[in-house]
Formats: sequence, C-alpha cells, structure tokens
Amino acid sequence: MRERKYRFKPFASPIGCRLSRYLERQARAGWHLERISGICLFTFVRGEPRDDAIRADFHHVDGDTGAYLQLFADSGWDLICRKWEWVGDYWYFFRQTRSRPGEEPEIYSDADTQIRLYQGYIRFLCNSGGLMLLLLAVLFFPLSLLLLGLSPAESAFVTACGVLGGLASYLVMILLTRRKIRALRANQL
Amino acid sequence: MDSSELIRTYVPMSETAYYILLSLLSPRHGYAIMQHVEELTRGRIHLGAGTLYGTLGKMEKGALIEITAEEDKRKIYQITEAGRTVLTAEIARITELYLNGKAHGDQAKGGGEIA
Repeated sequence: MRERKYRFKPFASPIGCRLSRYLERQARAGWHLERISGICLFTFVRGEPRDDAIRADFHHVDGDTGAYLQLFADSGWDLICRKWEWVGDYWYFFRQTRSRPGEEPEIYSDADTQIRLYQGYIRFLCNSGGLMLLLLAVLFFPLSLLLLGLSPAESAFVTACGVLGGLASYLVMILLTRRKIRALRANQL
Repeated sequence: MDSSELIRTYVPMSETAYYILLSLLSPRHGYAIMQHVEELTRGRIHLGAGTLYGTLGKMEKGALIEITAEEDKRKIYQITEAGRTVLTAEIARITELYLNGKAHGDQAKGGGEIA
C-alpha cells in the first residue's frame, strides 16, 4: 500500500503559476499529484523526489482529444490527471522532468496563444456560470428545507447566501484571469 | 473568401503561425512541425504543445491547412491554396521588413546620427 496524503484546496486555480509552483514543490519533496477528485480534493502519492515542471491546460473533450493528448505525449508531457470544471470541460495537468535545474518547459510558447487560452476560460466561466448558479439554487433550497429542517424563509436565505457566494467566486475567477491577460499584454509592443 | 480578404484577415501573423505554415508546405504531424521549427530557427523557437494545438485548430477552421491523413492518433496536416496565398503575402511583408531593417541596421546599432 503506497502512502498517500490528501489536501483540500477549494481556492486553487490553474490560472497563473501559483498552483504549478505548489505542485512542483510537492514533487520535489516526493509527493506526486495522483488525482483531483470533485473540484478541489488533491491526492498525492509518496515517491522519489523529482524536479518536475507541472503545467495545466484547459481543454474541452471532443473527438479530437486523442490527438490532443498524443501531441502532448510526443512533446514530452505525461498526463497526470484532469480536474473537472463542467460537462466536458477539464483542466488537464501534465508533467515533465526537467533535464537541467531551472529549465522551464512551457506548453504555451507565445503570449498570443496564452492570452487566447485565458480568453477561452473567461468565455467558459461566463457561459457555465449562470447555469451553475441556477443548479446551486435548485439544490440548496430543498436540501436546506428537508435535511436541515429549516423554515422556507430560512431556506431561502441559505440559498441566497449560497448563490451569492457562488457568484462572488465566479467574479473573482473572471477578474483574476483578466488581470493575467492584462499582465501578458502589458509588455507587448 | 477571396485572396484579398484572406490577406486582410491573416496578415500580419505571429511568428508561431508563420513558421507553422512554412512547415506545412510539406505534410507533417504536430510533433514533426515542432522539430522542423526548432531546426529552422536553430533552437530559438521551441513551440509549446498548447500553442501548437490551438494554432493548428484555428488554421484548420480558417481552411489555411487541412488534414491529409491520420496515423495512429497523429493527424497529418498540409497547407491549402488559401494558406499558400496568405503565406506568400506574409513572406512579401517580411521581405519588406528585412530590406528596410538592413538599410537602417548600422544606424540602429549606434552612432546616434540625426537624419
């Protein structure tokens, strides 16, 4: 039985490099990402310390996904796991052991395509956001009414809080991603 | 799209797009494109897998390239007539950049002459 540890990271976003840096630190300490369950439970498995570069790419699963993964595999990226975002939409996490310390292999080699990825992610957030919040409301109301035994007014309040919280997190994600786009554009002539 | 519309839409293009189109004058799959671009630029440009995948998708949608075969899971791409039109116009633009750059190269290096 291999040793495992679990980390609950509800606010980890693959946008930018913070999450990559965190996962790389874990790998250097011998904890290798194994899977991401639900939307934020990270499972790490114990192994040899490794100097890995870890990158995430947003991808919509379609008939082309086989070719997509093949291209990443051909260029030296091993698929670790994927993180669910929405029906058919995932963040794919890839790893590659650095051939020399300090080397930074990238899956996006120019600013234009990196920006396009982020713009696509914002489009996705805007498209899925409304439906997600509606789903949240539809789930929250009966659950709090039946399971927690709250009155309808209290249930409505809990539901409203849940939906507002969801809305806030969507807005934060959109603003964060837009900031990354602005930072990428700032240095372009 | 007629050729002037194609050129208006796609020229100028990014360095990445330019080298991908150049590579696809011969049929190649994704990884072969990466290797070819690295060779052409003597290692200066190492195309990222995400960059390449996204750009190929966009070019295929714009009918600048097409899939000619599939080996295992690797798609073989090749430039189309529309792609050649765009690439030819881009080469003419870059030639102009080059000639003007060459004519001003010494000035750019220093000297600080006022024209």
